[in-house]
Amino acid sequence: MSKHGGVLSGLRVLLVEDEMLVSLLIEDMLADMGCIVVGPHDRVDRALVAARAERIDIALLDVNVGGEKVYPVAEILAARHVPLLFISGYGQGAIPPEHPEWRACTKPFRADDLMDMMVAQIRAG
Amino acid sequence: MPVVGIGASAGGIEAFHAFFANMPCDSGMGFVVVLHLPADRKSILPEILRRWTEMPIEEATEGCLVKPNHVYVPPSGVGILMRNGHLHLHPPMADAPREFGPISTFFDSLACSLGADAVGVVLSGTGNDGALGLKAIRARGGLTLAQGSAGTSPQHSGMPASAIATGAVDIVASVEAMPGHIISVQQARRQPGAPADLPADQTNELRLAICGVLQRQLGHDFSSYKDKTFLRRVQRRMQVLRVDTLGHYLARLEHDRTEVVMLFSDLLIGVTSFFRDPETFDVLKRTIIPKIFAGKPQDSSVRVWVAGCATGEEAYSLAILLREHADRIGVGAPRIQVFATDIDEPAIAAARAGRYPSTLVQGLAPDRLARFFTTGMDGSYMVSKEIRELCTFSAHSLTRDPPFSRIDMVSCRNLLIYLDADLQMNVIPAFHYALVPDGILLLGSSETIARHDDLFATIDRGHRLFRRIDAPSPALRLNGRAHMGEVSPLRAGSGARSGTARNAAARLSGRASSRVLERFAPAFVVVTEEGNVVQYSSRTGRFLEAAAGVPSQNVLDLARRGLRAPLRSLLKQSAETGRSAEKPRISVDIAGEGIQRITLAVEPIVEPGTRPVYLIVFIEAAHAEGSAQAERKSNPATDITPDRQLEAELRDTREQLQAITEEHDTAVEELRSANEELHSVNEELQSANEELETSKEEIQSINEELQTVNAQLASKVDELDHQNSDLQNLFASTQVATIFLDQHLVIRGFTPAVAGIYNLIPSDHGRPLTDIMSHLRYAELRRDVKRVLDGLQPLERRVERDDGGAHYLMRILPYRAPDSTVDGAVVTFVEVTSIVQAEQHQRLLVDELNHRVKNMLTVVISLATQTMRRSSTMEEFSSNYLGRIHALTAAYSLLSKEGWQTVSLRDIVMEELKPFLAGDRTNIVVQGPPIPLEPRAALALGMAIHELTTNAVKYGALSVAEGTVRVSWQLEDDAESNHLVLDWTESDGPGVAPPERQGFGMMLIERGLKQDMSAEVDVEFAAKGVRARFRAPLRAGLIPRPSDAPAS
Repeated sequence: MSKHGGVLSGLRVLLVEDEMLVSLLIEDMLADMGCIVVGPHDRVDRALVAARAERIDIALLDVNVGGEKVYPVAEILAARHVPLLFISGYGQGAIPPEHPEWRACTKPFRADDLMDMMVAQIRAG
Repeated sequence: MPVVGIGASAGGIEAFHAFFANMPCDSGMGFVVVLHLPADRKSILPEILRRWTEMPIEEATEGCLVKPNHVYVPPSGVGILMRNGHLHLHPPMADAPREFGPISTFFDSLACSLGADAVGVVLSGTGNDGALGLKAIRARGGLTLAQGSAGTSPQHSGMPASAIATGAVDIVASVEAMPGHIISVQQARRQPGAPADLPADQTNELRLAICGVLQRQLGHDFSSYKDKTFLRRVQRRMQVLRVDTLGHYLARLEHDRTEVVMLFSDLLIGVTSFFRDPETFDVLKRTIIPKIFAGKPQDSSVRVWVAGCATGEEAYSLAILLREHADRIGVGAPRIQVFATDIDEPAIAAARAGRYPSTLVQGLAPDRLARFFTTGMDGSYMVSKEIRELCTFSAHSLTRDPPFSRIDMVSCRNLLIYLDADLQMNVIPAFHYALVPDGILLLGSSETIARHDDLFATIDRGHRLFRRIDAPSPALRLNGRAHMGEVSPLRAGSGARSGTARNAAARLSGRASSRVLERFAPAFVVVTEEGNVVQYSSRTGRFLEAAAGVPSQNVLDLARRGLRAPLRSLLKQSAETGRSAEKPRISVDIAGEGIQRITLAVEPIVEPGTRPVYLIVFIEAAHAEGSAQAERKSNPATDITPDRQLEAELRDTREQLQAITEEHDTAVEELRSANEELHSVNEELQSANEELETSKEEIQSINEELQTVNAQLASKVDELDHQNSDLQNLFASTQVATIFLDQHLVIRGFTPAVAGIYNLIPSDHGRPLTDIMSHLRYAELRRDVKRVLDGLQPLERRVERDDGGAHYLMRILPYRAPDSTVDGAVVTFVEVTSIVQAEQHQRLLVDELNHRVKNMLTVVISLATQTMRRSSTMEEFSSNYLGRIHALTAAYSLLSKEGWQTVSLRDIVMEELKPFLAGDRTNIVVQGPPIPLEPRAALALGMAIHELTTNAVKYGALSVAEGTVRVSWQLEDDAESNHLVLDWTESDGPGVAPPERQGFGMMLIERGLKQDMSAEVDVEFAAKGVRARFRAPLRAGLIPRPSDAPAS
């Protein structure tokens, strides 16, 4: 937890995930990191609203949300220069070819891995 | 066991067909088939023969045993012999001429090996291979047959015809009838012979009777011939003719001259053909030949003509004798020329080749054999070159062609016997003409000079030697070739028969005319151009008298003194002018009358088609009154003194003599140069002839080979047609689309299944494939084919239709020609659409599986961490956590049983409540219509029910025995959508108090159902018991139909 010197502490994280248990897991991890969860949103339309309106430091996006793909949300965030990280069982294969710079985190993951990737994305962005 | 040797050349295959189709398979005989084939061609004759007979056909191997009812075929290009019942092969001799080729070689070995058990058959073919071989078989008592023109006539009759011409064929029959003949003769042989049945003296009597027939018809006495040999030959003829008894055979002989000749030739054929009648040759050697040579100066030549030489043994025998004598003389011996002629061209060809089977040279003195013959590997004997060079063979007809000239000796043995009397009449004068004065004529043992004893004197009657008498040769009556066909020797002569009936008036007129001629007309003679008298009138004695010395028929020799000179000049004049000539006042010294004057008149008598003859009339003064007066008128001085008369006569005579001498000189010169020209022309023609013969032979043999090869090829083409048809059928039946390309991608062929991939039609053969439209999303065909052709490795590639409708596995393979060179490529397309789809589906499934598993694990981790946070003890954690995991597992189980499609709501509920329905618990009610739930909803609901149940067990209605739980659900229909409403009602349990804070279980229920089912959740902790209501929209596709029965 102190690995990254608390750089994530206080960050506002947008979470888009439709499976409750997975959502719970991530929420707990984020809480442990000291992050503030924006959402969690289990529908793309609500996520879109949040992506436009809310103050967000980094976003965690499940690829398939309630039968829809989350990419429109990602586009908006990218336009706002918000770093983002996909959560997906498909791994890097979920990234559309137009955005090779986007990263994906493969479920299941440990809290440490999640943190490393978030830090990396923040630093890159 | 009898063995049948069958020889053929061009046209043989058709003949074999007919032969074997009619030969039964159980005859007990062995068969060897010899067919002329070029050496470098593999024979497929065994396969062909197999179609026509059940007998096993074997390719002959060295040393193989000849078994009965088997057929043996030597490999092509190899000679075959029979010895001791086994077949032996030997490589062919490089210079073996076709006349004594493989068939005769084999027949000769068959004859030597099997004797009377040998059967030789000659079928269609050109040339004359086989003729000498059949002669050998016959000589040893075997049976010989040749293909006649009945039934399946030979396509090429050269071989059968030559065989027949040598006289060595017992039976000429259609090839279909041959098996029958062979079998019946063999059967007759096996029966006890007829001669043995009769008592010995009767047999002898019949034998002598037969000899009598031979003597009468042919003039040859066989009575002292060895009786056993004689009877054996007779028996053989009887077998061939299928005559049972000697008596019948005798009767046959008496009215069938052909059979007499056949028996005769059969009797003779047993004797060697070289130096036949050794005593005769002995006489020639000791007496005749030395005399011939003696008269010859060094630069001249000894010329001998052998007429009717057939296959040449006679000519070579004479040549050998002459050579031997010439050697004895040593240096200075004259040249030897032997002209040998015969009508039969194939026989001449065989004679020219000079190669004979061993059978026919037996009996030759060993030193002669060694000196004048060379042996071949196949057992044949070839006359040495030094003898062959002495002989010139040519085709010649005695009745049509002019005879040779300046011949020292003519040998004509065994020819006249085949000619009838009229033809014989012409032949002897021809010999007379041909011979030099004192030339020798040698005839056959049954021939005489008969009516020509004015032409020949007998030297040695027993050996048939005659000497030419120096008389003028009679006019030769030769029928030009253009007008008459060949005369068969055995046919009855077409001699004119006189005896047309005359009527009485004509007879009378004739008698009156003759009378006038006799009594009143002047004497006359009719002479030829040379002056030979052919007819006398009466009373010519006054003008003609026999001269002293050798009797002569020439009028110039016969004329009395004073007539000779005028006769000669008148004759010449008349012959030249073609008109009559006359000379008056010729003084003749007539016996008993003194000198008389007569007029001589010469008049030609010309009849078309014959040589002109001349009428010489001796007109006496009394008859010539008129002309004498006329003479006197023109010549007033009739009174001439004797002196002046003599002077006039002398002058006349001198003039005539001068004229005659000049004529004579000119004539001699002309004759000499004409003769020389003729001689050289003759030699040129001879050598041109030889060359032509050789070319003809070559062409013939090429022709034969072509015929045989052609027949084989036809057979092969047949086979190929069948195979091709098989191939076509295979193509049509195969579902694999195949295209055959050459190295330039030009289409050579394709199967019908190509239709869906390339639009090919039959006329696309010969076009490059790259020109054709394909339905494939594939552009590298040219490059890929090139790669295959270069690397000779097959290439595989997946291609798909451009509409994505089908996938194919395309393979390109190098196309190997029969000689293993690469000749193009084969492109195949196998439809693998279903495979591809299956693969794609599988990939999807795997991905999906991955995804789900990862998801699942994440869920499990989440459950664990959440439960952990809210558990204070390990036991608590363990029971809560495991309970949740089991609920999850159960829900997953149900889902997977249904194949991850949907699962029934009732099953989800029952899964949790099941343990509590056991025992005697009657207070759990589960009720509602069948509702299919999708996986997410099923899982969420399952977890929710689990939490409610756990709660009820721990704190609620299920914690006491009398507590009840009621779970019921129904569909709610309203205007916008369908909703599922589920109620969980606990009652009769302990009192319930709302919890202070929301446990994880509640969160699972509320958030889970909300997120995963979009449900509204209402949980009430009423005092009577917990009550929960979930209301979730249902996808339209999941609404149960009214027909589904509600569960109870």
